[in-house]
Amino acid sequence: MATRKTKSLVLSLLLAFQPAFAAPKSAGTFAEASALAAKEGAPIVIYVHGSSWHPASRLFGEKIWSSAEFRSTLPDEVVLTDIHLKQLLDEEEAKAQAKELEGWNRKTIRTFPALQVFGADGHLLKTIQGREMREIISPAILSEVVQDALASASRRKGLLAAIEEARQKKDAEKELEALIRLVELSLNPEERITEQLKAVDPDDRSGWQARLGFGEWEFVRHISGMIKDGKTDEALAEADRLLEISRHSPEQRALILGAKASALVKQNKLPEAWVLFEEAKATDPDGPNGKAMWRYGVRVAGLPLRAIFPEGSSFNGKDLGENLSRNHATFTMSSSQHDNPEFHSSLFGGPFAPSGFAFHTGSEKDAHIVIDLHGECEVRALLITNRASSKDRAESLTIWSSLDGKEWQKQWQATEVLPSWDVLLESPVKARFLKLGLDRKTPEFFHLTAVDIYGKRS
Amino acid sequence: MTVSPSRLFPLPLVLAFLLSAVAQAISTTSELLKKQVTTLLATAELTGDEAAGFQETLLGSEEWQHELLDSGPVDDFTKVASHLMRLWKEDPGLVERPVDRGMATACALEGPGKNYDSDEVLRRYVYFRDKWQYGLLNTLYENLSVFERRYLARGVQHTGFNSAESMEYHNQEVCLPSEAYTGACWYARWILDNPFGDSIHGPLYYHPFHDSWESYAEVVKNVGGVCGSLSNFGAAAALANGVPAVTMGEPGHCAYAVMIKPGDWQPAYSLSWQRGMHTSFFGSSWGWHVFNTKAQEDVSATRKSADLRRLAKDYLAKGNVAKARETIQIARSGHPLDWQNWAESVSVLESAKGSDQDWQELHQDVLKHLAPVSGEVAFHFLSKSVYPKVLPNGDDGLETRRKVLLAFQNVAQDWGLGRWDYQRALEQQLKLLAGDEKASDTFMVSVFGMHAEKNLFTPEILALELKQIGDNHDRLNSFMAEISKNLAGGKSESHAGVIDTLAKTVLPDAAKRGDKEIFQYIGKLTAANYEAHPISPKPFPGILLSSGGTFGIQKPGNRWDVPARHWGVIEEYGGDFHTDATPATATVQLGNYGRLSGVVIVTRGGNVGRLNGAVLEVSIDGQEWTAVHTFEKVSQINRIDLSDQKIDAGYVRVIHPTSPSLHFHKFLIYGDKKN
Repeated sequence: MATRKTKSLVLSLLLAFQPAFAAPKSAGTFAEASALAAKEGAPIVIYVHGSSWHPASRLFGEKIWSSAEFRSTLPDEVVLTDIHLKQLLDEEEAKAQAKELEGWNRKTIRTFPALQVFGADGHLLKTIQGREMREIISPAILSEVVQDALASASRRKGLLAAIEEARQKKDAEKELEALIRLVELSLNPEERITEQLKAVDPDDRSGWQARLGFGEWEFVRHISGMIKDGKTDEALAEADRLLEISRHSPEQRALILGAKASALVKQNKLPEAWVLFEEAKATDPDGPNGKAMWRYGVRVAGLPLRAIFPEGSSFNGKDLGENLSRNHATFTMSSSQHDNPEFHSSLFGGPFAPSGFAFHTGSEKDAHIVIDLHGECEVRALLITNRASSKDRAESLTIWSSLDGKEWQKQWQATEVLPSWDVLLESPVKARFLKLGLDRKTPEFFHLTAVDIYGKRS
Repeated sequence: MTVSPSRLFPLPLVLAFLLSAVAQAISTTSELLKKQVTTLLATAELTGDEAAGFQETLLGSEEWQHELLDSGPVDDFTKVASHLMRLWKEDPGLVERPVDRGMATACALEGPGKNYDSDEVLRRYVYFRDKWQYGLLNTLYENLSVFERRYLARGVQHTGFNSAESMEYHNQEVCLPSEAYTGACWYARWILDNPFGDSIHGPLYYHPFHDSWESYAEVVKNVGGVCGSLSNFGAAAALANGVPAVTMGEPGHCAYAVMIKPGDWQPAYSLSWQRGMHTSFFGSSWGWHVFNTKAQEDVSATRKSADLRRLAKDYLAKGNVAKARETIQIARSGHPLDWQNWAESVSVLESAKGSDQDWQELHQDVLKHLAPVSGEVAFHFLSKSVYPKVLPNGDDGLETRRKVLLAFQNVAQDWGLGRWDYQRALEQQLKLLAGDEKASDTFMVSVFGMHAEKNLFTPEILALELKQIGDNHDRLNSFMAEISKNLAGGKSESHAGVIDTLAKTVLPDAAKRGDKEIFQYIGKLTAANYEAHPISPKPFPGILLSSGGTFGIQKPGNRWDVPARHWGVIEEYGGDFHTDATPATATVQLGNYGRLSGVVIVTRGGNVGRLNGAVLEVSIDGQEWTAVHTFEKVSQINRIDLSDQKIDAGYVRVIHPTSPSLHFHKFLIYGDKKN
């Protein structure tokens, strides 16, 4: 894809061969511009601004919009006008302004200043505003932006003629082809475009009707509603149906994949869901949809599966080996006065226990658990997740290691209470058993939410 | 009420007074100002190589000293001075550029309150300096006072909107004429749950979207939110474009206000007058906000009154108590909008061990100068600082207490600068009166009588008295008989008669002011005086958005119209109205903002066809209207389905451009509320 600088260069070379005094037509008001455009069959370009209250808009108008350097690059077949929206008008002034703006819809712009390009038929083709507008800092760039829009307007005009011709000849294939090229122009949608497509492609073989009619985040909301109502099978079926359509944009596909993954999460199929969340990210890696689906997936599937480190963990990006504990390790406890064995498996895998802890000893001295990795391992790191409430009880948390479960060597001790600890051992430790416990003189309860142990098996 | 401080301040008198002070070898105002700054700088103990240069520069500019000390309260001067020194160090030329100097001073003043560190204070200053330099702020910015700039410097309540990225986003993507910022909250969609079904009331609503866009503002724009997010979005957009704005809490709701032009703060997305400002000085209510901003409108008057306070303090320090009292008296009567003049008056009297006569004089000054401007601020001051000194205790003091308390009622005759909690003040007065039931009722009858002509506070008085009376019917009848003598005609009326007489003026007035609380209170009382309307058409989905709102027409109380029946028109109960002016207009301020699903209109049985040609219009702010339906082939019951139009509105009206007559029994608006 050509860069803006390259395109500017090409444009300036092209412009060198244009007549020196090309003269686009000017009109005083939008209504006059519309009438002139209709008569000449020319597009309209409007500068919408608030020069009386926004100095940068005034400067843009004087130095760029009105410059000969910009205007001389435009073809004769274009009508220019500007719309000045003033602030703090009294009733009479507001009436006068409304009259001046008759035919133009204020709601088509969200911020000032803006440029708008209309077709000769009055259809709003494009609005350039906000960040895009702020990047226009010279007549040359403005010229490039407007020329791009005019070129699209010209292509649209040709396509509309082709569509009309195909309709006259009742050539549905050609009409469909022209309609598809029309929607690919990245201009504002034509009126009733989906109905027009449907007329020549009733089964939506092209997939464009599905794409244009896709509800974006409303689709995700719709699937979430079905999940909430317990209709996960129907939600999955609906997502699968859409995934079969290849025409969706990557951004849309990321939403469909994520929505399907959400339904799988509800069915507790976390590994399958996680694959889809990762696919959503890969499909739209830099877009807001892909990023949002990824963050959501991390929370509801990636973290419970222990497939990813939490946001902000120092382990991110490090190779710590495999997860030695996930779905493999077992543990014993020094006591189980307040414990619920139902949640034990959540210490090493799956969603965190709703109680907030996977195990809970009584209040005692040297409260601890002993984790059995069921084989000698080279342990490099542990990610220990503290209970969110009563977290201060984990003060003096300590790790000991052992090969036989009898002789223990202290490996690490917490220096402060944290929501979670990233424990990177100074050097890999050979061990089959790890003891996690409190090393304090007074009795205390011991409870944790999760423990993940990383390294490699011997 | 419009108050111009410059007209209030008798400038020749002040000048003569100040000159006389100089003639008496008292320090000049410039010297006193410099002395105050010098003292404060000494306590600030600024360090670093630049400290001496900064102090010298500040002490060399009287203008800058005024800006620093006389632009509202100065909290934690040590931090303020430290921030200001940092800004000066980074941009020493700002001293010569009034706009930048004012903004730098405002940023320094607001730093401590918002707990901004010096880097953040600097960033905010540089943002406004550079944006102004490049012409990217609204032209209003140029002439803001330092006090007004403090709103820009502080930012909004939700800190995510105050980040550099959010401010940049708002500057680019929501750059509007100043008055349009009152609608900027609607750039973001009102929606309770995010697409994953997580509620805005939990921590997960925005969580998935943190990395999706570059700024928090853009996240809110794309994801949506409820009143808190939307109001902060609207206010932050104004601030990022150099237009002062502030967010504010309301009962169960969050709204904001925008200074659309000098001296004109417009509430936005507001449902109630009960507002707690998130950036406030001295007092946090809306009335206090208007009071303080009005006080600071005339910079010259504000500085003069600050000069007088410094002079009074100087007299006091030198033991000249009489001159101190005289000086502060001139300050408070000259610029009563400046709260610090009243606060300093108390300090002077307390330090000088003021006599009863001194406190009586202060009381009289409050009644004369402050109460007519702001009953709210006056009562706050009286109850906190003056009544404890001038109200006698015990049974013997009852009559004096009554007279003193009624003196306030006599001068506080309207809402002043903004609707305030008059009923609470009256309740407090009853406690201070400390009389028995009879004394209390007599007092309330007197209060009612004082307000009967203007009829502004009467609903509040009635509401409080009914609360006091409870279900004691004899006491109620006696009270009603007494107060009806004060109403139009002066004849004794029944309870129902009193209510209808009150409603005749109160309901149209409340509708005009958008005062839902009073409209609803009196309106509900009127319902006992007429039958519910028997026609109840099928409602549209959602709730009855019009319920709890206000309703008004042009020329209320015309020969065909009974305003006492207006309340029921927007409720299921029903009522009636009859317009008598072209264009005929019937306007509903909805009880709740909402996405409209439909409108039901039940007209009177006769002349049904008069509705033909009328237009149904909707508006977010009651100012800018959009037509959504034209009435044709009407019948007595008209159901307009709006569910496909995706209309968000706070106001709905029917307007007939060519006819004077509309007459409905019901004008009901349905939908899902968005607040």
